[in-house]
Amino acid sequence: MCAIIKTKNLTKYFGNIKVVDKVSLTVKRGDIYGFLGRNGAGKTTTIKMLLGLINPTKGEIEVFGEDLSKSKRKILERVGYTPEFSGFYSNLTGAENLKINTRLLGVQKKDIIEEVLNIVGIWDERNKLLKKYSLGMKQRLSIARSILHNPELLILDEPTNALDPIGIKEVRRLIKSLAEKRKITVFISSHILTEVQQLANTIGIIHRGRLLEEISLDELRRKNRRYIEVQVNNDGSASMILEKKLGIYDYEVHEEGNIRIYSHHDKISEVNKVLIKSGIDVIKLGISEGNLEDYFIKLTGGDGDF
Amino acid sequence: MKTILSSLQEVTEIFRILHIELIKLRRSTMVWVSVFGVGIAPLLNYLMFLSLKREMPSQVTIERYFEQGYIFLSALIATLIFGLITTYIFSREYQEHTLENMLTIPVTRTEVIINKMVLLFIWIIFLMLFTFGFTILLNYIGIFIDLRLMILIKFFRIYLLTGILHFALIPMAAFIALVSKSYIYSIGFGIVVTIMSLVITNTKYGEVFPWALPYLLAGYEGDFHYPVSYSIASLILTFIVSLTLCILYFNREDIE
Repeated sequence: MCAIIKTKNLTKYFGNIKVVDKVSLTVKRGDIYGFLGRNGAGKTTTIKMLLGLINPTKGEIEVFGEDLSKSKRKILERVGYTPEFSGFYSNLTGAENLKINTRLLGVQKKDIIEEVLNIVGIWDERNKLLKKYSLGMKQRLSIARSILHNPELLILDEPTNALDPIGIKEVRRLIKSLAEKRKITVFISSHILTEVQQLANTIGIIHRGRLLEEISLDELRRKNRRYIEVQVNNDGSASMILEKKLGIYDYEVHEEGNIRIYSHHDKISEVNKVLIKSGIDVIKLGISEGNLEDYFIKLTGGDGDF
Repeated sequence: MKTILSSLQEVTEIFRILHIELIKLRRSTMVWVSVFGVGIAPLLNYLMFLSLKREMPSQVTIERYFEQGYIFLSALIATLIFGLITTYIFSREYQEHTLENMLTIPVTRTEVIINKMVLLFIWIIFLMLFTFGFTILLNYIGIFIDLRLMILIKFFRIYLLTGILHFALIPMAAFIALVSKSYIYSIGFGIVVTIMSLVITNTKYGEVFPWALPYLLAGYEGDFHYPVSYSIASLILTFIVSLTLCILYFNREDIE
């Protein structure tokens, strides 16, 4: 898979304050990349650097394989952007606001405004002045604006901020359907873990300006699966017994004497009986629930708040 | 042929961009504020001449009528109103958070500045022509001085030239708006230079003070202390330096 976005040691100082610190991230074609971090972690600054709105202090940015500093105009033709605080001209209607963008972008397709407003579900509100739009409607309009030119990459900065639960669900569904139907690569930032979990297939975790981890959701889930935790005196023999007598193969020896069994959760008492009968000392036995939240808190040094 | 085609494309591009800037002004109260603002000059003039007609009818001539209205406009109101619309055009993109959208589509920042300058030029010329027309209209509501074609042409030329000369001062207001992102500093600057112009216009220093020059140069009749080229150079220099500052600052600015 080729990289749509690739940054190398991306760094930004505002005065003496380091806001983004050597961030090297990779977004592959077709990904929904969740950029997760607390408020003030450096998400928006990174996004703005990816779009050329903020000049990096150090580091390199490649989008579609091209250097952003040299081919910004060409790159932006293929990128759609929904900012955290969507700005519109309040004296204009929703349709008029989009008309400005179609003109600026040179979009020739007839009825494109109708098409995108229908996608985001606010065609009936097209003639309302922006000052009468609710926050949720503005956010949908912002997404509509970002797909007017059929971009290959969609960058969304906290798109569900300040939306009500129904609005959040709808926007989430909209983003998923855009990624699937239009084959758009999506880069979405959020401070809400569950949101990223439900949308993304790759997650980048940023904390205090540093990218702590870049991991696929599958890998993350694997790391945080539900499992039977068995503490024994001899993990080698215990492993053999699990395989031969119970037919359990989906397990791993996590630490010395500590085995994690990822299947057969309903056979916990049987595991206990068989191991004891086979002369293995069972020191500890129980079911552990993988918790992504705990994982992130651990990763961010205990002060994460997702 | 290629040159003609590319020139045609450039002209089409300017109209396209201009159309976009005009869409942004739909239902904008600032359009009415600016029309009302410049309209104050002929209105004040009208009230003054109504009273003059009753008290000293011999003083009421068409030339004086136009001249006095022009003084009100150029010396008192134009810098403030033109500064206000300039600030509106630039500051609103920050205040309404629309700049992020504008700068993430394939338009360069220099193009954004130039497009806004073109719009401001047209807006200023429109306001000057409106004021000229309104001055004529008011004459027919109770004053009724005979209009003479020669005088009309003379002042039409002066109004138009004043608009063009005022436009040369616009980039400085734009620069202040870009840096401060608010109306306060721009309007403060407009008030300061207007007062300075009023004080300095009748001295020889007014001839090189850019904000006094639209009034002095538009009605220039060869009576300057310094060569007129100094005045023109001062105005052109102000335009070039402030426009360059706008472009440099805007191109380097982080949009946070």
